[in-house]
Amino acid sequence: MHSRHCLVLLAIVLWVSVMSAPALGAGPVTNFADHPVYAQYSFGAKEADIVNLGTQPLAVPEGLIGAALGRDRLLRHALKKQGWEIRSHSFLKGIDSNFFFRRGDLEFALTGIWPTLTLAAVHDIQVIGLAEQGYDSVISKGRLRQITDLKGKRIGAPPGSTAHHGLLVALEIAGIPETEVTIVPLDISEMNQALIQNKVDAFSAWEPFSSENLRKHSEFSVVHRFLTCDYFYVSAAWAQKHAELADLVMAAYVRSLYWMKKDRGNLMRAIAWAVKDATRLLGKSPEATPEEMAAIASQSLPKIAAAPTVPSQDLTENGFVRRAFGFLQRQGKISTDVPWSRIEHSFDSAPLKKILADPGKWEVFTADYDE
Amino acid sequence: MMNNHPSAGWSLRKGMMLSFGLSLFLVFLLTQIMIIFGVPLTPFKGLSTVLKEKAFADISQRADNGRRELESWVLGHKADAKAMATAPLLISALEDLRHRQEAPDTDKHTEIHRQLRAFVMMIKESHLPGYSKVELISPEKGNILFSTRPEEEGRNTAHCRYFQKALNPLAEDVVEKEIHADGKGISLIFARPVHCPDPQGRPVVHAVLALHYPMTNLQSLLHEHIGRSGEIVLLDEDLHLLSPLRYSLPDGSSPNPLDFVFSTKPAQLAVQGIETVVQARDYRGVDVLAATRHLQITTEMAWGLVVKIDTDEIFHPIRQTIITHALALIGALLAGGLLIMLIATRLTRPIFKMSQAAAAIMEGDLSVRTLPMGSREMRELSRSFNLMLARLENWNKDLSAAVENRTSQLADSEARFRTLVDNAPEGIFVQSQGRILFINPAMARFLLAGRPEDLIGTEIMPRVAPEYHDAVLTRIRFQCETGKSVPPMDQEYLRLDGSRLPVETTAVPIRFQGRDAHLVFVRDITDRRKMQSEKEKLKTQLVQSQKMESIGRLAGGVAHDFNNMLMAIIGNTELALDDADPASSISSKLQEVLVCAKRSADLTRQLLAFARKQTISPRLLDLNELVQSMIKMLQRLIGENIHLVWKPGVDIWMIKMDPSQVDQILVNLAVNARDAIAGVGSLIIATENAALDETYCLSHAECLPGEYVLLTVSDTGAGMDKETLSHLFEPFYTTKEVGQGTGLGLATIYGIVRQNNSFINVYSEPGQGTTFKIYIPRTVLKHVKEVRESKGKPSRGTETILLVEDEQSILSVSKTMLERFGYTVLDAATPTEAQILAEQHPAPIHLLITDVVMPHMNGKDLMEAVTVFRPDIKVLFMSGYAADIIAHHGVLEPGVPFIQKPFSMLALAERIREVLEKQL
Repeated sequence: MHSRHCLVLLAIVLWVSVMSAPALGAGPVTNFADHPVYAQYSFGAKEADIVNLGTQPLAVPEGLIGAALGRDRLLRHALKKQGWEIRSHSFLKGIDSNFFFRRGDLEFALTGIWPTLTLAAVHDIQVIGLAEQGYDSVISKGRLRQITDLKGKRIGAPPGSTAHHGLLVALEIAGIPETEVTIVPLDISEMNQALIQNKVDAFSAWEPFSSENLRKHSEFSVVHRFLTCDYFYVSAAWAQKHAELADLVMAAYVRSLYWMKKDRGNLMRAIAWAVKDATRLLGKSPEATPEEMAAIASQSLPKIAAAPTVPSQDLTENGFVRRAFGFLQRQGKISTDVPWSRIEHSFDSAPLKKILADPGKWEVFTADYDE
Repeated sequence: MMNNHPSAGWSLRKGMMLSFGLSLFLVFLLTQIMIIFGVPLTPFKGLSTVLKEKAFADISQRADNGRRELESWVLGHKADAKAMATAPLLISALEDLRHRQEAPDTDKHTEIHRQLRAFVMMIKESHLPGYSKVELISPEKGNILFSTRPEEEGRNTAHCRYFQKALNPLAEDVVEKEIHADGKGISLIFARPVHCPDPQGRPVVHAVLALHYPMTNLQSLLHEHIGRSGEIVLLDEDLHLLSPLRYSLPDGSSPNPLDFVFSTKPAQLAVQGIETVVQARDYRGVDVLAATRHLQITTEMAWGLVVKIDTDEIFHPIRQTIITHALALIGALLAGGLLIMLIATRLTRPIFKMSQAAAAIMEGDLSVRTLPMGSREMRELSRSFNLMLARLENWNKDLSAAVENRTSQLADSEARFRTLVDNAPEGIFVQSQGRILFINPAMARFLLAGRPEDLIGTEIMPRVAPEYHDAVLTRIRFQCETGKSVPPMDQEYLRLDGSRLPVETTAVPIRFQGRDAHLVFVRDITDRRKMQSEKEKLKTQLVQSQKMESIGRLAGGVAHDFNNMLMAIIGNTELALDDADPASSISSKLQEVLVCAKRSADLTRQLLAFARKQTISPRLLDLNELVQSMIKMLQRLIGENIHLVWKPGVDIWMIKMDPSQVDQILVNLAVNARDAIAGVGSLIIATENAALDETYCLSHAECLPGEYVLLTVSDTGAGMDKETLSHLFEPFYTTKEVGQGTGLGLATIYGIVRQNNSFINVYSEPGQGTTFKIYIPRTVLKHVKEVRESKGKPSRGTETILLVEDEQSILSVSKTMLERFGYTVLDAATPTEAQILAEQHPAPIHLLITDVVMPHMNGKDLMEAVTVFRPDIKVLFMSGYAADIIAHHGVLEPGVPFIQKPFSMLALAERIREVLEKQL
């Protein structure tokens, strides 16, 4: 009798462990429709006149752009004239927003290179411009000083994210097969605690998390740093169908860049909006300070603002996008059946160039944002 | 027994030095290894790791510094452009210029131009000396309005990317790269629109400011040498060099930065935006440690920065450290080794001394002592050692004595064992699994091996006769399975020469030399077999002899009774002849009866001779004389066709024998020879002395060792086969036709020979004649010539004779004979009557004639009874068969009067007179 009770109890414990593993941080929920926050989002009916924008408030300056777009009165007013409205939805990472993008819930999104390319491989999108050109970092604690030290180690990374992509690139450079490390799927907000608590030996994160953690934890150090880009893209079908609306959104995108770059006060306002969005998403304030976010944004915004289009050399043989695409195919993240031409075709800066050629027409220099 | 070999292994001193030295070495080595390489699973990293990490950190820091410097440099130049482009003086002048566009030839227009040119020149000279030129470009057409190189004013830059980008009001900083016209250099152009807001606040571009900065001026930043071998390499996004290289290419050439594609791995990583530290080969093919950094100048322009240093230089300190530590290790080991050696020597000296003393002890010198030295413990040890030695010395003496004693005992035991085993007449060997492990000399001799060692290790079964293999193997198997002994077994072994040896083997299971084996005792039974064979032969002979004895006994018994009958017949016939007319026919018939009766008496005498029962009177004889006296008679007996050869021996010994028996022998042999020779032949009679030993007698039945006179009778007759020889001496056995012989001749000879303690050998083969050899024991009594019995008329007398005979017919005829002789006869049919007569007869009785064998009392007893009453009476015994108490083996004791029945009247009369006339 006693042994039978023990067996039953053990079975219950095992079942609870298995079922609660995701809740214990074993990894993010993959069925994002059931996400406790995302499930609250209202995208409207499929054919409703709503422009849904997916943004990542935890990314800088991408999150700032998204925050500004969501509060751009000029855009809101222009869309309303045509009977449309814009809704901005915050996501932890690009793969999350892509889930909804593929469902048709989003029309615009701002994500990193990996989610952009994996989406472009299976979904018709139009990559309009750059949202970020910066660096993600692999951060470790203590003795791990170079990428080869990561062999056999546990490394936290948001699965399917740019940080995950950059980590895999780093492993490939170091000649370490993915099977010789343990990639621990963690949300970006969980990274530093996981490292502090020795649940992982290193983590890969984008800005501002990397700079923030390096600042706060002197024992942390950068093992590897890699250039990464975030992109602003639109559903190709929707853009084709609603070209004028797409132009309005793209103009608002350029406007936000100019507005934030023009004045630090504007930048701080956008940061505040992003922080607010992030707080709503996380349930708590992000750990990065507004100053840290401003410092990071200040480095990349001027460059992006001056030329927000995707550099043409990025699409050449050795260009950043081309290389990323090849890497993702090698990693099996993109099917080898997907030709490069499909991806290349997705990157179309022509609409944005049209805006940039006549910024006055699109009220790029005019700013009217929510308080 | 002392073991005087030097001990193997290490000495204590060497062992101490080695162990301490090794321990020291290991400790130092381990320490050095830990110092150099760290301790796993601990925070202690080791110098190697520390140095490596320092090198990595250093180079990363250098790269970060380089990037910061470059970023600062870029920012600085951007700031230069911004500062100049936003200078109020410049803006104001350009605004004025724009307002006076319609009047370009006015003085004011000219003055503005002069001011603007001077401004530009001044800014360059005083604030921007590094720039190669500064230009202000018209936004409408792209013509250079003003330049620090006046010769370039008016040149159109509309096609230049920096101009096109700078026109974008959103653009603030434009950085572009421009290859020099001569193709030998690159300049960075920092361009910025000079604009001011319109009334609506929208920026309006009045001019484009372009600052040209030659990349060669960066060399001061980039040519900072990193250590001894390091350098900083700057590349653009196309992997083109933006700075010259420190080293030449492997082919010795210096690459043109504009043409050379720097495609090393670090360069590619840097350009691709990957900032890391890698080990790779640089453009020289040398292993370097490189830190890569990426500078995103604009969204479209990026630089890769590689800070590299030769790994040799990085690891040189590590190697130096290792070498230093190795040298330190060697030095420490040498010093430590020396110290250990000194310490070991000092510590082991007392032990060494003690070891020397022990060696002396080993050599047998127990008188050696050690000198206490060294530490307190060693001194105590030395004292104890000496005390122990003293005791050992005493014990040794005692032990030596005991050992000597035991050794002696052991040696004796060994010698005894060896003596027993080596001298054992029996063969002894030990075999295990069919192989001989031990063999004694006797066994080796049995097998005709030179030495016992020659057979050790050989197999035993080839030595066993094949027909005994199964039996031997069965016995071995039985012993192995049961562990029991098996009874002796007769078999045959094969000697090494192949001949056979009959043996009796007895085997017992034993453990020998640590293994199961069999101890086998081997007895040579050749003699036994021979003896058994001879025994069988003798047994045969004995049986034959017993048969003969039985036959003789029977014959003797028959002869006795027959003699009694003949006595009556002969006696009455003689009385009848005496009464009958000699001329009458009755007398001739009575003569015939008498002849036949006498012939019958002869026959019975032969039977008695065969049965050795005839009464004989042996006397000392010279056999040569006796034979010589019979030669003529024998010649007549054998006839003229047979040549008789007489070969008397020289100085033959005397014998004691009844001459009549010798006659019987010779006569019977001569008759047989005559009958065996068909036609012409020879009969050889010879005598010689013969001494027979035990050896001879062992193989000849009835032979006793001693000296004999050999009588040899040989003939050249037909000879006899074995079958005939086997029945030769049987009575009534004859090969002659019926009526040609009685078959008692040789039986009579046999009886005579046995009766005289002699023995006879016969040698005969068909066609080869026959030889009889009769061995008669020698006697040493002097020869006394005896007178043979003479023949004539019966002697008469008047004495009184008491005649006792239980056979009535013999009593009657004997009484009649005696009365005819004139004697007074008292006759008695029984001994009782005789005693009564002897007691009651009033007159003297002079002679008692009595039969020997009578019912109730024999003749001897009667004589003794009668002599009680008649002590002077003389006695004459008579008997037909002398095997009785008086006649010991048929030979009357010397002096005992005896007459053999049947006897004639004459023989009786003569014998009576002899007895009566003989003095008592």
